[in-house]
Amino acid sequence: MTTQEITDINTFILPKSFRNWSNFKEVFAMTDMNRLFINSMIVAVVGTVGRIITSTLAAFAFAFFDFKGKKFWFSFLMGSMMVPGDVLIFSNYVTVSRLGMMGSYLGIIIVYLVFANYIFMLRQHMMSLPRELFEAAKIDGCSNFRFFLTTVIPLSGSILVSVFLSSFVGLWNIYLWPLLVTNTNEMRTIQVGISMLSSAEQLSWGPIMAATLIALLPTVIIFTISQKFIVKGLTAGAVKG
Amino acid sequence: MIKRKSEPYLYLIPALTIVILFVYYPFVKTIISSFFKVDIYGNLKEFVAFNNYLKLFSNQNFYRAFSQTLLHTLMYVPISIFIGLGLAFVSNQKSHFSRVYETLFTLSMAISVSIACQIFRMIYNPSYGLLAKTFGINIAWLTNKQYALFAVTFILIWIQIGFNYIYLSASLKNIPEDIIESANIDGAGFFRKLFHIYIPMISSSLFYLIVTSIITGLTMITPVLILTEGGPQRSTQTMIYNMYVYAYNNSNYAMAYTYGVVVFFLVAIIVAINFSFERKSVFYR
Repeated sequence: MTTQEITDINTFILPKSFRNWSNFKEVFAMTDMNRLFINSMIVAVVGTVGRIITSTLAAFAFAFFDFKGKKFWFSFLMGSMMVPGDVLIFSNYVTVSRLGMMGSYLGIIIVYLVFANYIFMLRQHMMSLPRELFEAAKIDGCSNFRFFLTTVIPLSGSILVSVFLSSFVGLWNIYLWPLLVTNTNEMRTIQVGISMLSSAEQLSWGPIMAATLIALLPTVIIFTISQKFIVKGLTAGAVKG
Repeated sequence: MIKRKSEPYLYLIPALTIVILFVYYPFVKTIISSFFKVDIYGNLKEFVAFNNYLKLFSNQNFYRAFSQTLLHTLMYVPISIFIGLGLAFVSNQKSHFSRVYETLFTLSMAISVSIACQIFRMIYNPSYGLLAKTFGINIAWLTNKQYALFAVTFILIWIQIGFNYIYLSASLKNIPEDIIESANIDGAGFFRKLFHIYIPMISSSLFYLIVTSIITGLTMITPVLILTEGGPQRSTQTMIYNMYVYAYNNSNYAMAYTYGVVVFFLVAIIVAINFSFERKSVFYR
């Protein structure tokens, strides 16, 4: 749709003219859309992989080991869900800038590297794995960490897919934190980039909506195809109470 | 189960490091800093006891943000749960289309708040937005101080519905069929079943949703930041938004920390009240 058509009171939802891809071309010409897209991709994928590493390891410890203070450390990790993240943004901002991570991917990702809900889900799953496997591996002289890599991880396939997808959607959509820690155009994520686009002075709806569509596409596609997995990832734990 | 002293701790180290560094440490630091004067570089200066709090509580604007945040939460939580529950009942009737319903109802979950704001910015436009075109109402939703907060709340309700729907419909499906069948045989009407079977059976999910959405409601900021910047005439200022303004626009870090602590305790109190109701009324299978 052309901008005139969008702002015309008489056009309803369907436009008279499709300008083919010109709105998209304009977006790519006006902003570094590729870069924004890639930035968001890196944040979402690396952040998710990091979350999976931290939560599978922690879940493994809670599910297969008996150690001093197990209950305490478990509630310690779960308790992190109770502190609303937005209240902490400012302290975290200072920490991240002291660590010299301002405006880097690591600075965006690091505060998201643990999501207690995933530890809970993975622990529930690992506790349901047959204990005999572990005993057998022990007798064969398999080290605990090798057992983790070669047996526990492959057996957690479907739950890891749910965790991966729901975490990807979540991290793709974050806004406030990347807005704070990125200060150059090259490092912005797509969510931040788009809201900057529309607050720029020249407001033309066609390209903005084209950009919005590009930003929506990955999560909507993932959601439509793999909705079952995501729903499992989100509702596991809570529905059972 | 194995007993080896140090090994399990090794597996916990990554998760614990992050949680301590980015949840518990900033939390403690926020509380401590709220009792100090803080310079513009964020360094603590002198101990001022409760002065920051007194300053905050004597600020008219604080009460405005406080009541607007509460009003937002009071609309956001019940409406989004009510609609989500309604949709869950609709799609619970098994039909060929329930897959389609499910995808459609949950799709709003895939959309981020910032993108939803862009879409709604256009829908709300008073001269050519969808609302103006369809209903012919020329209200400047976002720049009229009577409507702006409702407009912002509506966007967040819209996003939350998908999430609530999927939770509630999953737990509705978990209700054993025989309970409902026997109620049907006894001739129970819909409302009878609703209050005596459905709601008690899904109360743990409802409780979870209420608590989590109270937390998101009380810490709302993104749409205000993107769409209204607290305006018009401060009518959409929320507590976290004011905290953000103190920190990033005014470099008044002490007040920002104090605001953070107040919001945290407000959330904690309201969540604790919820938990005290939980003992009485939530039924776990």
